[in-house]
Amino acid sequence: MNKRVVIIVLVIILIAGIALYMTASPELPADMLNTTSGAPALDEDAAVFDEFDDSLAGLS
Amino acid sequence: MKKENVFFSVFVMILLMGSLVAAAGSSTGALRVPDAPKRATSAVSAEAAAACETHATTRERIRCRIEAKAEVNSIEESCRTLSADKRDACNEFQKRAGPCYDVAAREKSLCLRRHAGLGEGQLNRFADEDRRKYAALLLYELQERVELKQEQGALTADEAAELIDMIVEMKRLLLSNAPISDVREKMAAFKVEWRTAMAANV
Repeated sequence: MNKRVVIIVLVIILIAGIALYMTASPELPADMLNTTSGAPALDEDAAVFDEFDDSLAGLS
Repeated sequence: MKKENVFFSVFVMILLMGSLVAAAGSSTGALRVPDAPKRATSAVSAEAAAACETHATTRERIRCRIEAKAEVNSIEESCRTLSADKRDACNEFQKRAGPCYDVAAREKSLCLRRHAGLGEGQLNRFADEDRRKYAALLLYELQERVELKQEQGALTADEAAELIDMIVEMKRLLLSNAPISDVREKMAAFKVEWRTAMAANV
């Protein structure tokens, strides 16, 4: 096979891979972050309030 | 090996390595969120800060520090009513959490959790005392946001002082093991004040 063709195919695969990565990177839903795994992103004010409420849930 | 083949082999290896780098980034990059706007630090005037100590109430001291552009040491405020040994521990605990506020949003919550003795996941499986500490650290995050908004002109010094005073009171309640119902009551009032202040200054 012509090497130039192989290079072009590899470049196309690489570009397609990057494009796929950029568009389809899975982001965990906020509720999942808040409850079952990890910790929430404290970006919005509301997220801080929610985390605060969660931290005190069930305490007396 | 022919010169042409060497060039071809190097090119293919570069492409493969590039793919590996992209794959490695996906394990952390997707969850990364931008930092919350960082508050500009003002020059601390020791004299101005000291003068603010002469005010009788917490709110007056806070307002004084805001207007003097002195560092608002609310950490100390929330620890002041504790016994001497607890006060030092309280100060130290909150002081050591400082670096957590400079990291990105998700890393920030993880950092604050770790600092309070908590881990990832559901919070109700952790010790009550540690959860109280974590809540107090989250309140400091809110305080930073109030100070930032005041510096940006979105809040007046009065509004900021009132909000921070409420934050200090909640921290005080949390760290002195006051009933959580009292904290919730204060938080409900704080949210109303927060929304009112934000709506009035949009």
